[in-house]
Amino acid sequence: MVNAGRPHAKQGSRRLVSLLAERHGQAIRQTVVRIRNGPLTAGLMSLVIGVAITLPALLVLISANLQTQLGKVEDMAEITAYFFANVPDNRAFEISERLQTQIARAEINYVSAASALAQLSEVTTLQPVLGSLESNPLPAAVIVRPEEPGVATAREIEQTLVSLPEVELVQLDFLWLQRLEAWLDLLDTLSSALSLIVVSGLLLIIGNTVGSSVQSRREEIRIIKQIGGTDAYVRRPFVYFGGFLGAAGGTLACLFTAAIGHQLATAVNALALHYQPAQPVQTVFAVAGLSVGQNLAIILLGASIGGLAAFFSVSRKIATFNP
Amino acid sequence: MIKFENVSMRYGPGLEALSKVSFEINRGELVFLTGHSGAGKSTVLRLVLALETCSGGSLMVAGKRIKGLSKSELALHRRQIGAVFQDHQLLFDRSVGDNVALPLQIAEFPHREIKRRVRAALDKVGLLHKETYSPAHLSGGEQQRVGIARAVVNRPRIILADEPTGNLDPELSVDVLTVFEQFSAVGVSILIASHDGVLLSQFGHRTLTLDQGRLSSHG
Repeated sequence: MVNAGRPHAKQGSRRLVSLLAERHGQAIRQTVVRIRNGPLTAGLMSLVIGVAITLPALLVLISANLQTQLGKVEDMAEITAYFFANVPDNRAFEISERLQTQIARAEINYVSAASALAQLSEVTTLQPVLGSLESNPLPAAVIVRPEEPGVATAREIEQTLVSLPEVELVQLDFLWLQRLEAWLDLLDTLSSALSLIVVSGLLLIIGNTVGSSVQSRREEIRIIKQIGGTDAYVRRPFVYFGGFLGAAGGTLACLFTAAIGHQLATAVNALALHYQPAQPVQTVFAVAGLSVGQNLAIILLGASIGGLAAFFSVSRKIATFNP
Repeated sequence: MIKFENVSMRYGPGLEALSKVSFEINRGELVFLTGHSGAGKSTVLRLVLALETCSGGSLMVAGKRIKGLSKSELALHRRQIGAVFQDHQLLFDRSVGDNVALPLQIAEFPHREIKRRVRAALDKVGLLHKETYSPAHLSGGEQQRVGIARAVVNRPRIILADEPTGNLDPELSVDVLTVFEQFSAVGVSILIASHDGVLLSQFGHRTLTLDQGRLSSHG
């Protein structure tokens, strides 16, 4: 007859799993009932959380897409060193051969003055003019394509080339690359700051919602404590409720971000069309959406923020309830 | 099972609810606690349930001193006590069956076991047919019996009841006390606070009488 307390305590660890399943299953069932009893509150809260998470998620999306585009641009980055006109062709060739060993991990192409002229006459309509020239006005050049994109690598190669006495001019469109990277850094910082603000905002919003739900269940909590419910028992359904709100909000944020991303792709392509009026759109800017992993991360993040906020809010409140 | 030794309870200066109360209730004993309202009956029950801590003396329940128990020990302590409250303390947002199931859910019994025990307890108080009702749709007497079912469902070692027959007609009162007697016969210690003199004399168990916070009779 006398077997109050924990019925499973002596049944060994094999039963631990079923105990945990029972414990959390019960809390989840209660959470479901609570959501079903107040679907409007839960829905509106999820919507608020969803909108809040969408902002940083969009910034991440934009930043990721710009990084991709920048990567493509950086891949095309070239550093061109022009030799003085009086440097003989074979000497210039020799130097470019030596550069091959000096500069690791880069594609180095030597363009003689003659071949430069030939290339120019191929692509321009200036052929008659070029033909009338007495001597070749073009200098020999060496073109370096670094395998590793990035400003630092380019800067290093530039230094090497500038130090050569035979080189008259080193050309690298350097500044705009630097500026673009700075802008992207700014965007990243901005999205980090915004994420931080949103996370703290969510902690407060969810904490407050769950807190007021605790308040309205004061009587129930008092009774549960009277018949031996621990704080953890009381807390569990609230934590699940907070986690649910966060996860639902995260899911909505993923949907919003995907929808906005899709709209963005249309707008970007319309914009691109204006830069290429003569020909039909050749470059289609595919705006890449968030990856499956990123979407999952957002939902998980929402759930953990919700659970965490609920945990602290409930713990703080029920400590003050005396049965 | 329950041992009061010079237990005093002060709610403030000059507000002494209990003064130097000593008594002992053994295993399987059914004891009535009587006295005028305000004599300190509810305070005794609240002290046993550890809803309050005595300001003087020593209180042992099931071989443990209540003072100094940690929060989780207090929860475990309360699980071995089935309490019937004067105002029923039912949850109106869930069914009668779920109310009775609460102590089992808290003690983490398996789902199926809970269902079985809840039905047995409701059957004992004659309310099996109202398992799915909301307590709000029940009469005061029925709510009282749901409270009793909830108190016994966990097969506790101790049952505390505060005016358990307050809302019941004489016939049902006898039924309920008979249920309590069945539990005491299998070793459960029971303390019933009541001022229903007729009922007390009818059953003839040991009676403790409180008068202005003092124990005036040990029965």
